[in-house]
Amino acid sequence: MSVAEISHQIQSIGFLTYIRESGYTYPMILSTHLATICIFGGLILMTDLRILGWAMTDVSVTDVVGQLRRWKQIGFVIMVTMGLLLATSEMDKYYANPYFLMKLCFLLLVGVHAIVFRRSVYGNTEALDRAPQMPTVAKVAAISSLVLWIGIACCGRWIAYYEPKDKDKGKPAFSLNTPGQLEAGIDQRASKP
Amino acid sequence: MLIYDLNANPLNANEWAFPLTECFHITSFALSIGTIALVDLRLLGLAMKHQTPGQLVKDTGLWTLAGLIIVIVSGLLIFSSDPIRYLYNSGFQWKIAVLVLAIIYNYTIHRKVALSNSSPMAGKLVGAISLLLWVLVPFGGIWISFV
Repeated sequence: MSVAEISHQIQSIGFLTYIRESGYTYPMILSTHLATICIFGGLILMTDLRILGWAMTDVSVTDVVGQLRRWKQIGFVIMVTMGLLLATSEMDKYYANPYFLMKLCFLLLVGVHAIVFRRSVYGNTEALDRAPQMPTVAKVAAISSLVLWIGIACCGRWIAYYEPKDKDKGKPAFSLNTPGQLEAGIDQRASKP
Repeated sequence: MLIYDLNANPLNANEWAFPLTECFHITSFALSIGTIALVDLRLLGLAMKHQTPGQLVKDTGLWTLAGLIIVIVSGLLIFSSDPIRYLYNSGFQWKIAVLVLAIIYNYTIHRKVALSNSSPMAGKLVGAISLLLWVLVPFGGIWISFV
């Protein structure tokens, strides 16, 4: 079976077909995805900014990392679940989308990041708080986390702007244009000179 | 009469400009809403229990404001790409209404309650309303494309 066939099989699963064809379920899932980005993505940014010493410096790293960990985990699970539903319900379009694949690579790197820095940074916050200066390893962890997560957000946005060479295969998953307008060749966004 | 040529707007003329502006928009609202949510979680008694809500407001205030400024500037740029279309879009109208309400709420009731040592019950109510208001904003944003 080719990747295209497997992707088509995936998006043909009953409830994924329902999501794709529904009027409101798809935007509800997309909105939930975005709302979790707002809240929990923001918590990730603040943790990184705290480690870098740019924000919340009168709160210990132990408090910021420890007290927010559970909420970031909950947010991550909701975010990924919603993201998977969005992607798999339109797998025909997504599997060949370079930005989607790039986003998956970034997510994989987030996993690597967690493993690499678990012992030295995120599980070692009391030592970080005692250190006279924030150790370089912690700063590297924070900056790479910022780069990875902002990269993920940008890739996610760019997924919608990728148009395959074969125009029939897909249209932007999310843009101001309604499907009808795109089919009629009226593309507000792409009205470039 | 002034005629606004949409095609002259760089956001419509350059294929990178629009998505890039949206990326700034997303990152900055994650920052602004995330910092407000951090205070809300504290008001709800769900996180950051070693700090007072007031301390957290002071710690995050500048980042919230910076995020809001970038989110509004990038939002206005996105709006400029097709003003008429947005103005008549019910999703957009709804989003702006909730956004204005959320910003006013944030800098009045929310701030006041967080900075004063009000009762935990009042804090919980204020935190819950804040979270709800801010979550509705991105919902409105997505709805722009679906109405």
